[in-house]
Amino acid sequence: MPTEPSAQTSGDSARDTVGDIGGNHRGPLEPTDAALIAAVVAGDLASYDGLMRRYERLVFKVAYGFTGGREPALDVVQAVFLKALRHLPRFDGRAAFKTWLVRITLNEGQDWKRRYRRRDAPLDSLDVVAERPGREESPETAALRTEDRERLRRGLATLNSRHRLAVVMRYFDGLPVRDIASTLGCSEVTARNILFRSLRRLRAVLAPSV
Amino acid sequence: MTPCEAIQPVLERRLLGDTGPGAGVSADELAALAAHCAICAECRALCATDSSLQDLGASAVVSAAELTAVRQAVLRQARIEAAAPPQAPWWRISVPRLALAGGAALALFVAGGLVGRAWSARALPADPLARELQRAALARSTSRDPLESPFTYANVSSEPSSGGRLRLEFDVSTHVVVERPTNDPLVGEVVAQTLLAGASPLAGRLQAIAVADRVLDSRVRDALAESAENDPSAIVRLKAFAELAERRGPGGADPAVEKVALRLLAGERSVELRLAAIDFLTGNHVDRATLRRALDAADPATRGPLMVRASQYLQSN
Repeated sequence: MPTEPSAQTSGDSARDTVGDIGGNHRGPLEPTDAALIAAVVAGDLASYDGLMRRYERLVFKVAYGFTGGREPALDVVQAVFLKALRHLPRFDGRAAFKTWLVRITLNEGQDWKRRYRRRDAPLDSLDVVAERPGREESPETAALRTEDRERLRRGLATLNSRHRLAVVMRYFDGLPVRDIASTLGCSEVTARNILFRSLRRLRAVLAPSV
Repeated sequence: MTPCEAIQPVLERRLLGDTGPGAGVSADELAALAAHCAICAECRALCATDSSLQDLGASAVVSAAELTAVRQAVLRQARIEAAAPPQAPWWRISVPRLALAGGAALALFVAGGLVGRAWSARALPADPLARELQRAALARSTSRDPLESPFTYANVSSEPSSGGRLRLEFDVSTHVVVERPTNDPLVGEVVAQTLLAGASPLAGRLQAIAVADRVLDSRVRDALAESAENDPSAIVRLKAFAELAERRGPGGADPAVEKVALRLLAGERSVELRLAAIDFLTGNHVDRATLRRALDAADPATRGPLMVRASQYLQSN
């Protein structure tokens, strides 16, 4: 665990040479993931704030895919970033930081699912109630859309974690199949198959009679 | 090759195109796909599922303020952990270091006895929590960002006291993350207090109920009973009672739960909850006369459905 922010930062440390670490949300003048990680490991907590800002939305979306609710997803995000911080000194840079973080999210999401299986219904319902229909939608369309979302959320919960992660990365974060394959550690063909099988399964949830 | 198999590559590119959905699909291919979907319910439903998933993905929104709060909580917890690094267990400390520590402790004890009175004016507070707050404040006073505290102080009252001191009264809170066994007293206390104190949001209270069956602490059962009867939210009362109803005493139904159910029949507003109470009581063969008395005490305006639900049980031998 890094300690209280100190004057010591090491943006040009040896870790910068790890080529495949790089956030896809950073500008040209912003430090690389590797530089931020090195600074955090050296004790600069403020750099961890920068890392969290870079990936918080991705982590949230993956977590949301598991929990189906905003509040529990935020709980998972917090747990993920704490766990990542505790294990950061052991992060060896063999995988991209983003991939590593998504894997932690996957594990935390699974843990959440195990712990809170029984509360799915009320939390989902609360989030659905909290959503407001778009201005251009009639109440009937909005109700149907809400119903679809609710069924999809439940359908997502029935997918295994690998399939659910693929769907979440694709539809919640708009990642291309190439990146999904890299995160899942499989070929692009396999990732496509996973996505297609998941789509078919979810289709059965949405329109069982077809 | 079936028509679906023939159109599958186009459908895949339409749905999973690497540069975005629909990218790399020609106008002719799109027309062919549309024509196929017009006659094939399966492929049409697949496209509709794709649209619904995109819609669901777009609904996963979170505000910057919520994310900022999460980041702050993470950094706060990190600072707390950094301030109190985990200690090695005593059996992993070398014997000379143990002896040295023991000697130092003895010396401090003796010295403390001699000069303790002289130091009384500057001694740490007796209350363990106040001591912890004072240590944290001391650590923060030399840090780079002294105004950022891991604690939140509220309801503060301050007034001058004797000897140039200041008397402070306040509530203090902080965000803590712990992982403990389910039989840990802290787990029991936190879950019970979440249900009792009413300070947690609705989702937090529902979470506490959802995990209550894993927590082996009698306080949790009592808190569930209190929550089933008095929580301002009907769904919390209902969930709390459902959780309670699943608990068994040594010889069957828990008599304490039976009493809660009887009180609910008389005083609860939600018909659904009262029906759940009747189901529990009849399912556990409560004394019929007792059930009748409880029903007689129920609000006459909403007693009808209760009587219908209980009638078969009351009329059986």
